[in-house]
Parts: sequence; structure tokens; C-alpha cells
Amino acid sequence: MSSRVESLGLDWVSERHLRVTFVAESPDLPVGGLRQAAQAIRDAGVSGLSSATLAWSSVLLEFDPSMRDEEAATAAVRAVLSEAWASSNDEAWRAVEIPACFEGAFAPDVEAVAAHHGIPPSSLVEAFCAASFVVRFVGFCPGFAYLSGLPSALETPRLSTPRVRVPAGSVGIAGDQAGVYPLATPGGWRLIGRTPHVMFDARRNPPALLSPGDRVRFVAIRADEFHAFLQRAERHV
Amino acid sequence: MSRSAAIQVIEPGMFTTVQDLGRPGWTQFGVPRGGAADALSLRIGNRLVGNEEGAAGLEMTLVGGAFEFGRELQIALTGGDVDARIEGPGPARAVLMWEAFEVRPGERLVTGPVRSGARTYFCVRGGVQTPRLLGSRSTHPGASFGGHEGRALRRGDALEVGEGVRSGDFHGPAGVQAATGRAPQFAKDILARRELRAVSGAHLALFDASGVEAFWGATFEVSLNADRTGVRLTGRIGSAGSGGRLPSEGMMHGAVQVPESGEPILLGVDHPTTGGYPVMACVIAADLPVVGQLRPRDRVRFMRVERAEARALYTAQERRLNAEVPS
Repeated sequence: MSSRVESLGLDWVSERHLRVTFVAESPDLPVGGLRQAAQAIRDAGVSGLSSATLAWSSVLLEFDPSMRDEEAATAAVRAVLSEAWASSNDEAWRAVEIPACFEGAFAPDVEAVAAHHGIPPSSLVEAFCAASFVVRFVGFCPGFAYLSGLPSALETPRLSTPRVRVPAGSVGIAGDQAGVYPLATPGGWRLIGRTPHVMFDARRNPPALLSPGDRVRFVAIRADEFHAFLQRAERHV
Repeated sequence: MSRSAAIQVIEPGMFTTVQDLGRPGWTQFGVPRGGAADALSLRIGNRLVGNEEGAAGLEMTLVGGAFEFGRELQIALTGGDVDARIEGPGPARAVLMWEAFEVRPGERLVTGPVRSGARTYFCVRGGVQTPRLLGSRSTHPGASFGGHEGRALRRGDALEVGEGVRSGDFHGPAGVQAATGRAPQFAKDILARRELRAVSGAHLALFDASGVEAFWGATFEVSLNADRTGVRLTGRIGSAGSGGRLPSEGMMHGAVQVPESGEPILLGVDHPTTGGYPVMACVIAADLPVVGQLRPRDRVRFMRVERAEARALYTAQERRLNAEVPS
């Protein structure tokens, strides 16, 4: 199976960063393949490696700047990838349900998005909650999971003017992506709901609620259930 | 607010946070390495007071603070130049940067505006003790965790300091063993650079030749939009042919991103871990401390080097550091 490694590009993009890229959309590489590759590289103890950042179709490897031998590092990564590919399998994945309220103030854009698609808001929420999402990677800010799997009928362009402040827990869509804002930040995604779950907490291990490869479904809850959830969570603190 | 705290914040300064050398290895959860924006100055400060170089200190931004001490401590100030004095029960005295000195209970360190560069580091023997989160005491202000309660210091905050981690190698009290006069010059020369050496970036091929040429020839000004996340530069160059947006990929400290506007963003220690703007260049490791010292209105240029040269420059700089300020 090492031929799969040939469908990867390995490029030094700085004196301390090696980027591993899928070449085009290699059909024989499962969504989880790159995630497994990233984990295999982290676990392999490649000399001088300090982090491996997974994104849509690439992994960025950071090496200690005292690393001198670029060819040796490239060869070490290539060897780990060959091994990882040979043993890659249909991964065991984790199913995560995320409760979210898609009503009122929790869903400032739900009516506009529904109108954009010419459907009632209830149909939008129904279709969104019927979808099975996959966490492609966690990036941008701590705990922000990029989800693929948004039904194409729900694809919506992002806001032309980003909001100055998006509340933590906001469920958003942008283009063909979906995500949950872990922190209150500026943001340009269309907000169709909000979860009471804490998406990122540095005291937890892992700190992010969602990890690459997780299968995610959203479960619609009412506003009173949202508040009840928050009250229960506060009692546990 | 406890009178016996090792360090009590009298005035926090403009933006002062607890920082160590950060938390590598958590980018898969969206967490950047973070840590001191100018890691070189923090490392030197820690070496001067006999700490492990990764101990936590205070990073003061643009305007320094005032701090009262609850016990005898050895401290050092490094990084951007500030006027600093010790006020106390006794007569006030000026203190020099890049030297370790002792302070006594009841005395206060009073620092002024940062006069060159953007950040001054306050290191203390034993290190500032805040809880370790994800392996580091560093504050990530954007995500409100780490450091002291996940935020910049405020008046009245009390900080604890650890016991000296090693004995017998305190380079003070008068900085006698700190190679006075040499260590500051070595570090100051590095931090004064405004011609940043950089290697070609990940998406160079997306820019047309004239845009690339314009970039390496241009002088940029640091805008007011400059923090630990990144520094927005003014001075427009052509954006990439792709329209300035790519599928998100991993980003790095020192990357020069060029968004649609054509005004580059130089990524800092708390940079987004992934991003979709094309990367024109990446500042080399040896010059990353300078990124943390850029202040609004500074004028910067980029000088192209090859990767092998970048590595050699880093190695040489580390050798110099070890010779000038032994750990």
C-alpha cells in the first residue's frame, strides 16, 4: 500500500516546516487517512518534531529550528507515512451528539438562511439535524472544529460583513462547511443555533470537545432545555 | 490581595501577561504554541537570574507596570528598553536592564513606557508560579486560559514565585557575572533588526513575479493592529492570483500572509493554527524574537535567505547566546 505515499506531496515551506499534502483529491485516501497519518507522525518520535497541524488536505510539521538535516527529516517522515498507510484501516470513529437550540436569539440567521433556500426554518433545522458531519480538523482558534457533511441544499455563503462578536457555542455554516464557535470571537459564519456545551476547556484532556475523525450529529433542544443544561453544568463546576 | 504575596501588582501597565516558552504540540486542538512573543529576551532574563530558561516571567507591552515585593527576590529586566527604578522604604535607585539585581520586602519596581521595541520581560528567580495548563504557564489572552486567570494582570493581583530551581549560579546581585556590556549588546543588536530575514513561503507560486519582487523590495509600516496574534503591515503588494483564499492549512509563527487586500499580516506567537490566506514568506527562526518587538509605526523590510542559510544563522545565534549568557 506504500504506493499511496506517492500521492502525497512533501514540501519544505520554511527552514523548520515540512508540509505533507494530498495531491489533488486522491480517491483512494479515506477522509481519516490524513488524520491517521498525522497521528502516526506524532507518535513516531521523529527527531526534532514539535507539532503536526492537520487541516483540510494537509499536515504541517514543525521541527525544532536546530534541526540541520532536511533530507534525513524528510526520509523519516516518508518512512512513517509508508508504515501508517500500510496499516491504515477503516478507522474506529467516535459518535458525538451536540445539543443545540435553533430558536430565537440563539439562531439569529436561521430565518434568513431558510429564506435564502426557500424553505421554512423548521425544514432547515430538520435537514441540519438529519445530517451526519465529520470533523475534518480542529484549527483557527482553540477548539474550532471544521465539519464536512453539510447537505448541499443548505450551502450558504458567509456574511458579507462579519459580526464583531459571535457568542461562544454558536453553530454556524459557511459555504459547504459547518462549525461551532468555541469562544466569543468576531466571525462571518451564518449562525443558525447555539449549543450549551463547552467546546474548549484547557483543563480537560483532550481540551477540545471534538477531535478530527469524530462523527457529529446535532440534536435540537428547546430554549428552556438549553438553560436547564447550563444550570446543571454550573452545579458540576 | 495578600500582603505576603511574592509579587503584588500595583499598576499592571498597558498589557502584562505571564508567559513562558509556550505549549508546543497542541495545534491539533487549535492551540498555538504561544509563550513569550520575544522568546530570546525571556530566555536571557531567566539565565541571568539562574532559572531554567523556560521559567515563567511577565511580558509587559508598550507600558510597563509597578510591582511590590513581599520577600527578597532576584529579578532581571530584558527585551524592549524601559526606565526602571526601585522605590522603597529606602532611597529610590535606578536599575539597569539585562542585569540581575536583588529586591527586598516592601520595595517596588516601577517601570515606564517601553522606549524601543514593544515588550519588556520581567524575570524572577524561581519563576512566576501559575497553574500549568497543557504543559505551560503561558497566558493565551484570546482564548482566556493560562497564566494568571487566563487574562492580563490587573491592579491588586498577587503572584507567587517558586523557590530557586538551582543554587549557586545567581549572576548577581550587581550582575557581575552577567558579562555586563556584552550580553545586552548582543541581544540589542538582534532586537533592533528591522530587516527581517525570511525564506520563501508555502504559496509563492500563486503570486505573480512582479508581486514577489514588490514584496522583497518594499518597506512596510507596522500598523496599530499589532498584537500577539499578528502584526498587520501597511504598504500594499499584489494579492495572489487565486483571489486570496485557499483551503485552510497549517500556519506558522513568522508567516507573512497576503489577504485579498494585498496588505500583509505577519503572524505572531498566538497565531491562528490554520488559515486560508496565501503565504508569501516566513521569517526565519533567528529573527522571530524581532516579530515580538515590532511596534506600531516601525518600518520593516524582508530580506530573502535560503533554508540552509536560515538554519546556519539560527545555529550561530544560539552559539553566540550560549557564549554571552551561559545557562
